[in-house]
Order: sequence, then structure tokens, then C-alpha cells
Amino acid sequence: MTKRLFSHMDFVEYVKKVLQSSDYEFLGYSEDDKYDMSFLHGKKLSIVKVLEYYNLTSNGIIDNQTRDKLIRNFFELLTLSGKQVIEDFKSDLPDLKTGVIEKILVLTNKQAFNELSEIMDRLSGKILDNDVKLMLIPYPIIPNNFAKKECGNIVFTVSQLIGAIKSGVVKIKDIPAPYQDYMVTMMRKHGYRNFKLITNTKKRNKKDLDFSALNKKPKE
Amino acid sequence: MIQVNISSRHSKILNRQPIQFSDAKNKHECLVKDGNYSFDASIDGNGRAYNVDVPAEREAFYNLNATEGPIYVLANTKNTTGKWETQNEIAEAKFGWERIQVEYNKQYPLIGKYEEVDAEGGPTIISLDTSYVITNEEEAKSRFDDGDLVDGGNKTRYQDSMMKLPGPDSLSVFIENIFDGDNGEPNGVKVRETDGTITHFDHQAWMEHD
Repeated sequence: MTKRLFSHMDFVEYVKKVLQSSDYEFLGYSEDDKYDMSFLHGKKLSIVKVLEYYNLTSNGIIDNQTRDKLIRNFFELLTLSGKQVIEDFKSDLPDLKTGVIEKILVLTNKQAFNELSEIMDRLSGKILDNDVKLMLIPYPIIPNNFAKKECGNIVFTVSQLIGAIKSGVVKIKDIPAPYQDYMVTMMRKHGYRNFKLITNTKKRNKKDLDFSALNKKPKE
Repeated sequence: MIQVNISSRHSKILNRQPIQFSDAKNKHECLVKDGNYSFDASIDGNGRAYNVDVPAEREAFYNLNATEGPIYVLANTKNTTGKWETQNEIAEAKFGWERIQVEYNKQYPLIGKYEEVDAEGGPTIISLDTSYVITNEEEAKSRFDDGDLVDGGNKTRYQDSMMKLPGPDSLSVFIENIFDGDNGEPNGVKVRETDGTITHFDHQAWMEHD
């Protein structure tokens, strides 16, 4: 199985830096699947779950699997007992405000963020004490060192780069490895399924290059 | 005598007439131009296509729409087949076109084409969308953030990004989030608070990837 270009921990690390650059003090990573890390936010304990998974349909909305995953993660955080989490930290943090816990679900895609927000709005009458905050933190961040003459962006998020590709300002072929393959995958995740032909071209070219490097000819 | 220099005011020279979707579609089918472009069917008899990656065409496109300040180009459809042939494809494009003219009150919708090279080295059109220009920054951000209704009005789709052209000689910038910086810096975190209100805060973590 090929290694993913960005692991879940890459997303978690970036979110950690974003929150630390605000007024969140990092406490540690979680061993519980229900959240990824914890912070001290003022005197409140804050737990953070990062969910980078999403797929968009060809008309631009999230697919059913994404919807299920978003709702499941939201409810897992919602039903997580804050008291139990606070108990785990209380001995190390005597000043901790024990009555309240901040729960944060971080998403990386705007469509997913907005659709989950709408679901939460619809549920607001049914959930009396929603204590889950949503944050939209796009990641990965791709440095623009390949289209500086064509485009004013200093860095790209995936959605910005898709916009630049679609307008013809950035050409897929000019995006360096390993981001080129990654962006082809992301275009497909965003509903542009016609990209399979371009991937085939790349694979064929890679195969040719491999043979020349070995100074061998393929068997006929 | 008062002299008016209209040489730089492209928009005053070109004859533009608001046209219906069917006429725009017909004009676009007669267009012979490869690559990516924004096609403005309202100009002259045949319309004109602009590739914003070509400096002269980008400048002409800017001057067509404004004389100063940034302009914003927003799509309001998401075509992923690259053609307008089936009933659904045509219906979506027509809906997008009419929405731009009637609801968004923009008289000159555009047809945006995105083309790639396929495995055989030939062109494959990936996407054919309707789009439009907004010259007011606040209006552009608000429209972009509101998204567009799809699926019979049951869902809202949010475009990946919108394009900003800061001036006739400037490079285009792509914006995903209305809190992004002037050069698209992803420095704003959008937050849905527990009571449903939307707030945001800034950060500089993206700079480590610069």
C-alpha cells in the first residue's frame, strides 16, 4: 500500500500550531480515539478532534459516507463525558475550571464545515446542551514555488489551488512532485472524475523512466 | 472644450448587450479557441473569450469590467463533465445563467471552460461553468460565503475558491475563505460557536509553509 502524502498526525500537528498561535496552551496528545489532543484555554480544558476526511459528489456537496462520518464524530464528542476528562487532568492542573470543558471538532474543507453546521442548526432544538465548537482550518498548505509568475498566492490551500487549476492559471503538469499526484487525487475527491486519464499518463511515464534508469528494456 | 480620454476604458468602447442563455450557448458553440477561458457572450456579435493566464487578455478582461480596484470572478455552477449536452447539464447551466442575471442582478454572465491534456496528449474539457464578475469587495465576499442552492434548493454548494484580479497588471489571487489575506494567505480560522454564531480568529501558522 502506498504511503499517504499527509498523515493524520500531519493534520493534527498543523492544527496544534494554529491553536498555539492563538491563546491555547498545548497539554498533550490523547490516547483516546475520540479526540486527538488537549489544551488549556484560559482556565478551561479544551479537547480537539481533527477530521480531515471528506469526499464531494460531482455537484459539489458531501457524499453520504462523509455525512455519516461527520455526524458520528460530532456525536462522539458531544456524548464524551467532560467530567471524566477533567478528572484525568485535575491533579496536574489545580487551577482548572472544573465545571466546563471546551470540545472542538476541526474540519479542513469548507463544504464539510458548512454542511455539518447546517445539520447542527437543524438539531439545535433536539440537543439541549451542545458543547461542541466547529473550526475550519484548511490543510495541507502547499508553498507556491512553481507558479509565482502566474499567480499572486504565496501559498495554496487545496481549494485555492483547485481554483487556480480550473481557471488555467496553474497547469497540473507544472505542479512539482509529490504535490502533482496529490492534487490529481484531490481534484477527484472534489468531484472531477475525468482526471483518471492524466494519472494514467503519469504512471506510463514513470514506468518508462524506471526502465531507462536500470538500463534494461522491458520484455516484449 | 472638455476632452475625455476613453482609450483605457475598454468597457466604454465595446458594445455589450445582455443576452439569454440559449443565445450565449449558441455563440459559445461557434467559438474556436483552445485552452482555458472566460467567454463573455455579451460583447459584439460573437462574444469574446479571455484567458486570464495571458497578460494582454487578463488586462482586457479587467478593463472590460472595471476601471479601478479589484474585481472578483465567482462561479455558480459545478459542471464536471465538460459539456452541455444532456438535459441535466443544460438545465444546470441555464439555471446558473438566469440566477446570475435575475437574482444576483449581474447582466453579463460568463462561460468558464477548463481544459486538460489527456493520456493521448489531446484536450479534455473537465469543466464548463457559468460565472460572473463582482466589483464590490463586500458584495463578492458575501455572495461567495452564501454559496448557491443546488439539488432543487435542498442543499447549498460552496465553491472551492473565487478569483481576485487586483488590477489590470496584477496577477490573479485565489481566495478560499473570506478571512484570507490579500494574497490568499490562509490566516483566518472560521469558528461555529456552540450557540451557532460564526466567529473567526487569525493565526500565522501557515507561514511555516511559505
